[in-house]
Amino acid sequence: MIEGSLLHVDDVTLVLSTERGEATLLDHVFLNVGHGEMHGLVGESGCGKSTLVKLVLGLTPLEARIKTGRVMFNEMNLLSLSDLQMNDQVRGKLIGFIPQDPFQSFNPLFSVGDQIIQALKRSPSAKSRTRDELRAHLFAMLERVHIADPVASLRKLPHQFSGGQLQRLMIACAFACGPRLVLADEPTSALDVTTQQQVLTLIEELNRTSGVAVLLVTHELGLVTQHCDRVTVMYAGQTAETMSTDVLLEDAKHPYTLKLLACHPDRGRGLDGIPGIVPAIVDMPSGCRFHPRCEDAFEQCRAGPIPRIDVGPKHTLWCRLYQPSNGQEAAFVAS
Amino acid sequence: MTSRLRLFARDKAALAGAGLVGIIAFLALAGPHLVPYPQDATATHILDGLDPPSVAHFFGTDDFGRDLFSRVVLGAGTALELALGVAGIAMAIGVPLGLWAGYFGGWLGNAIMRVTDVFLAVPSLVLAIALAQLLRAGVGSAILALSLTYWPHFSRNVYAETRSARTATFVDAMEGMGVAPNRILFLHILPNIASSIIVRATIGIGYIIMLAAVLGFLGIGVPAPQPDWGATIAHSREHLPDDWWLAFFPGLAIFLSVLGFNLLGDGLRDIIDPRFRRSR
Amino acid sequence: MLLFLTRRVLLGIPTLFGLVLLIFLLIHAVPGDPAVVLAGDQATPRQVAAIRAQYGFDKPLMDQFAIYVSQLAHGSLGVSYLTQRPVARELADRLPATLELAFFAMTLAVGIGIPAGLLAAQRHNSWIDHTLRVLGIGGLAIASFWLAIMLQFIFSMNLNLLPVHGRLSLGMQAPRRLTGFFTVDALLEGRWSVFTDALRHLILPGVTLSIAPLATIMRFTRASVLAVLRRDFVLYERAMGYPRAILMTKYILRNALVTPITQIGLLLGAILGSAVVIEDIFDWPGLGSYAVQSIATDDYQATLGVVLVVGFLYILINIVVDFVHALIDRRLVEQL
Repeated sequence: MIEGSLLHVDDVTLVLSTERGEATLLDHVFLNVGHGEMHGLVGESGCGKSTLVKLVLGLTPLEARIKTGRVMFNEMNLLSLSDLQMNDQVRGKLIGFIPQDPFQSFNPLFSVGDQIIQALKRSPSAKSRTRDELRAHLFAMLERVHIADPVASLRKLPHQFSGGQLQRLMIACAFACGPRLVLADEPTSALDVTTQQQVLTLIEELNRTSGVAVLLVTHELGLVTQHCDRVTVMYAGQTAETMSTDVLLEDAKHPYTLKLLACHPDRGRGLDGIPGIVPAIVDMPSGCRFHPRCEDAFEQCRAGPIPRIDVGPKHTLWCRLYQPSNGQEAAFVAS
Repeated sequence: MTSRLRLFARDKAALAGAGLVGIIAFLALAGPHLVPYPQDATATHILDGLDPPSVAHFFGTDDFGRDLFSRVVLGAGTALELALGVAGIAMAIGVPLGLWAGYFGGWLGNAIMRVTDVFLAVPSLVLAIALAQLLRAGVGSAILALSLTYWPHFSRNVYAETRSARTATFVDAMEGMGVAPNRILFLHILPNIASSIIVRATIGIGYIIMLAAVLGFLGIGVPAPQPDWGATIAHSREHLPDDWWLAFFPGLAIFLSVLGFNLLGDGLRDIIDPRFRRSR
Repeated sequence: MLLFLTRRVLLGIPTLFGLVLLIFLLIHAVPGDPAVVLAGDQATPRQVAAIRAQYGFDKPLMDQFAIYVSQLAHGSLGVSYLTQRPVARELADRLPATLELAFFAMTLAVGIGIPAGLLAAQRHNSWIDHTLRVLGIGGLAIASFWLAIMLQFIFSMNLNLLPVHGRLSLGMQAPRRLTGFFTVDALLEGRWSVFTDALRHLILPGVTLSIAPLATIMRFTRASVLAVLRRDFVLYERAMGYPRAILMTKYILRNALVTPITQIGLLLGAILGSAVVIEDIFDWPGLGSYAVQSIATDDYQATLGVVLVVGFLYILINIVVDFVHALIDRRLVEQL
């Protein structure tokens, strides 16, 4: 148990039996979100970020099996809780959720108010308030997310709003419930660029003022560098590296992280791609899954599990190019 | 193509359907040569009337002493012939109309669909009965009545499919290049929607067999003494509860044939268009 | 909402008009002198002449149509040559019997079909699911008239549990006619024995008529629930900790019911169609048995009258179904 961490995903492996063999969706993944932290979880599509979010919420498919690891939150191992316990205590209560596509995530046949209140009324916020106080609390939150005329708005149906408005309603709902952590799963991917900035600024603001931690899941490194305190990089179901944003920009070590940084238009020397493609879920390479595309890969990279290397107090990576003891480059790596 | 066949082969229900349809088709074709008492299509032997099932007569005999097993098997021929004829005519009317209305639209297309709506405004069975009565007894009338009842199902289906096929980008491209509409319709759109027409036709044959059975039951279908499942069941009413086999076996035959075509049609739909795939 | 209803009714009018036109054309499509055809085989020359005058068959086609429409507007559907009574009157007498049977069958179909479909979807791929699916497909393949006869055979003739035919047992007096539904009227009068008797008579024909719609509704509900379960808002509602029971019965169900409900109109139409034969088998004094009778006696006016009334009812039912659909899914109100 790491000191002061709110959410600690510890060495979790999630497997799924398919027709073509066993697929390892998450391979010894690690994630550590501190109290009040804005933490970015970044990686390409299909790297397992959404699966990890579903894992924390206990919403992975029934056929998927946890092979190793635990998810520590609030001194509980979430993986050991029953679905009922998760529903009663965690989902929408201790942990909030902001989905990717607000248009698809709101139920089209009910008013937004009905749905928000359904989540709100069993949340921690409701426990300490009377009905009127809860209403006032919700209206205050709606105001903070710049939703005009809350009374009329709550009675409207989802299709009567714009994407940006709906997402702000989602944000309001998530934070109004009074959670300790909000999982935002690509909250801006379905929005246009100008709205994206609005929404992210809003989330960041709420994070700072309320002290609620946010896990911002995204495939855009740029968003993470702009808004997050710390970042975890994932590739093909494995954790590559985790560090603070400053360290990311100055002292990232994992080859994949470096490639991601190089791909960013601001930093790279033009539009470098990363040669190769992400392998299919049943055809994953052994050992470090990035090794087929890594310029510095060598024989040992194919052997798993990858050793964990703690470079600094909060800088950890998983790679054979570095010595586990001191984080220095391994001796046999050609410079 | 082969991957779809494999998919079909894994669908047990569809296989069962195909099997049943195969059996029905076989009986329809080969029946007259295989049944133990082919002459019982028309002959009568009152003395043997209403015997229960036995080795000599698997399904027993009917009120005219005819072997029920033979008549039920021969009835397959009647039913299938009728259903194929109806399906053919209904397609010949409904498909072109649907294609035209779906592609060209306009006031004529609208008018065609309005007419379709009107025909569909009456429940099929009621319409079939009314038409059959108006057209008087006879196989031809039954076929005509059922065709007039069923064509709107084809035209509505084809209309919807054509309309959505029409919005495909490649159609725009072809129109832009000046390809004649007829060419587009017949060489490009029709092949695309052909599979859904086949599915509809398969399920439709099952439906038509059912409708024809009702007409036969009411006495306005195929005229006696041609073997007809519905008509036989109608005859059975006066002889219940003693001579139950007269009602039971023809009904079983109807059940198995309609079931077969329904299962086959569903199975075809699953492999042809993944969008409509039944959730498994 | 009112605007929606008005627009929807207005949309139905051309269809109704088309139906009337169709019937009219059918009268003329029959080979031979339409007056003779309508009057019937046994008519006297006088009766034939009367019909010719009434419909104006000697006038041009357009005038004839106008006459026909105006007759309909006055509630006249011609005269049954068999009973010499106005067809409209006879249909009005018989309509409640058919409606009572149809609604009973529909209630069974919905009351069993929706929960069954929901259950099958919740227990996706379990043995319950497979069994229900098989039953569903089988249910659609059973000829209703066959089923009726088999049920009569088993439950009435052999087991003596239920009556063979009719709406009431011999000697049981019908309740005072308020709605025309024996069950409802008996309850309103407080006559419990009549109520149970009427109900017992409803069971066999009602169950027979309900099988095909039940199978269809179950199938559609199951598919619909499975489709809804895959939607993003279900994931969101689960992620935000909605209680399971409320999630299922309120948020998922309403979305899932949209498709089955739109089927109800179609299915009531199918029930009305099947009722023709079923009523005949069970001696049920409704529109259906009337139609069978008119077919057997070549009473064309009566048959066409039934077609018109059933068609009209069907159009009306579909308007109601569309209305209910819009109540559930408000987005439709703006679309039309």
